[in-house]
Amino acid sequence: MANAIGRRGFEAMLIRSSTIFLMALILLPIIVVVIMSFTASTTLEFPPPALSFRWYADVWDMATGENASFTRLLESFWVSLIIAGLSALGCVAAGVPASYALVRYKFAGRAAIEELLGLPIVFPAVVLGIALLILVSASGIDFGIWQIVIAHCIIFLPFMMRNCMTALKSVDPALEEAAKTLGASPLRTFFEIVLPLIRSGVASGVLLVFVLSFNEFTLSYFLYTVDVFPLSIWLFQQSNTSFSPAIFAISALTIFFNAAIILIVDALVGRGGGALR
Amino acid sequence: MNKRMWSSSKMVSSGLPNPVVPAQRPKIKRRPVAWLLLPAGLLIGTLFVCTLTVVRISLGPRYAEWDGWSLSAYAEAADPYFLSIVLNTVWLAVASAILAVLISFPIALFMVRTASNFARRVVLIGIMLPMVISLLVQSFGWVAILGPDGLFNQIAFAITAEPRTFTLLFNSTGVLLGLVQTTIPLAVLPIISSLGGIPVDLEEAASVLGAKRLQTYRHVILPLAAPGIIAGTILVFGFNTGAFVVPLLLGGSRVSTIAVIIRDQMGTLFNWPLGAALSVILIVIALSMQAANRLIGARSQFER
Repeated sequence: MANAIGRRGFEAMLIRSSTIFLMALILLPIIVVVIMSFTASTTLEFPPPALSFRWYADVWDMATGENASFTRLLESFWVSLIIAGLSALGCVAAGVPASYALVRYKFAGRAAIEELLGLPIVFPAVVLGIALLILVSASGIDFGIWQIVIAHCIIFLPFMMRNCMTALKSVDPALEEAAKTLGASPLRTFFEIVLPLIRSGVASGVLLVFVLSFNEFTLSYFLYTVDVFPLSIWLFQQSNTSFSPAIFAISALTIFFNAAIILIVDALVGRGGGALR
Repeated sequence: MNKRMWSSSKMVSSGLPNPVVPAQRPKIKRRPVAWLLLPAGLLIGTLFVCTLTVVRISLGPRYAEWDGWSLSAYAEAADPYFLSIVLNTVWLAVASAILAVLISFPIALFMVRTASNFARRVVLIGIMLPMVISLLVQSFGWVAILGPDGLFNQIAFAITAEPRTFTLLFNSTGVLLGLVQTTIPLAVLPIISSLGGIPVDLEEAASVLGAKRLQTYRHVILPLAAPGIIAGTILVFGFNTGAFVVPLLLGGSRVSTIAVIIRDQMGTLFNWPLGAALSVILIVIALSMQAANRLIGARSQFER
């Protein structure tokens, strides 16, 4: 009973109801987009007068039909998927070894390096985007898709590292020592002992970077080209030119896609939701 | 596998007082660290080069950014118009940070105290979604909510019979709401970690000593949760000083932030030095917050 102090009765009820209210408020725009996507009307009236799947059918026609203005939709979707996949791989390649170095080794400047690696979170994306654009055009090299991928790797690296470092901290160093004592090389120890143990942390980091990159707007806005035209830029242009409920249907589809990935991350992380902390 | 490697690792791990170990340790360990940090270092190095580029261009004359040197861009940036936008950005970031923390505190309390793992996970997913899902997509939702015939005005209409009571879209109210909503996780996560570290015994002790619940909050819980609250405030502030998408989409042309005018100066007006000077100001604001965070000693979630 004593343990329950403030954990039940009026106080707990107040906290629970304010949480529910605030959560509803935070999620309101997302809920509205999903509801709007089912409207039967051709206007953007909210709440919709009637519900239907007509705009999803419309999107299906756009994606499969011959309508020239929408052939870019599928193309943009693939571009975004490729950028997100490459960014996630890049973050793994950079984040996993760096996390390992920071967690397992003691060296001069360790704290400073850890600090530096967290910097991209507060570094203004607009500045990064513009500076990269200036550098790329000054270099005269056509980076193609890589200019967005590199930008995404930079800003999402801290998210990857946070997941990896949390996972690595839970691995007992004695296991690695044991493997090394038994004659395994450091590389073999890493791939056969450490990696399997941090697998779910790495996987949730990969998925997090994937979905963040898939949805990223600011850097894509500065670095897109006619050939590399991500979905977020496609949506932005459509919303400026022809704003129809079909935009909401496409948006809702990306919401479902993202929500599914977040659910997988949550399942990978397991009970308690530790990784996103 | 390699015999030399085998023997040296064995010596390190055996823990026996072997005089060779202290001498060898740095030799074995230092080189892998450099290699391990290399890929991440290249990414952060690119960020560093970008910063230098921006600083360089801000110090160049217009149309000859790479050749000459001049401080005229900073003189231009000191114009009252730009100063008002800098102030407006800082104000939006401060207000959004305070609101985000106020909203996050009860949510974090709930997540720390609930006995249900399921509820905790649902709330966690709920606060992550607005940060992860495209801001563009969410801004479509905000337009439907805040617009002249949107949800809020319809509710107001039902109550007061006064059409279009609120103008929320394309002014700072809408921008502020958007900024708060998308940065909630940055505030919730540090608060959770500091709240989670408060033993329930302390609350009991306060209660035994006759403290009312409000007094316990005021004198026990809030002071102990302060590092997380401060870390969350600074993180949201730092993130929102660079706000671009939300003001671009919800502010129309009426609400400008530093990031939006940087885009205007660089992209449409081709005044690179001025855009770069404003970028330098933006970087300084964002990084000084990071430094303040360090000085206060409140370690935020992301650098753990």
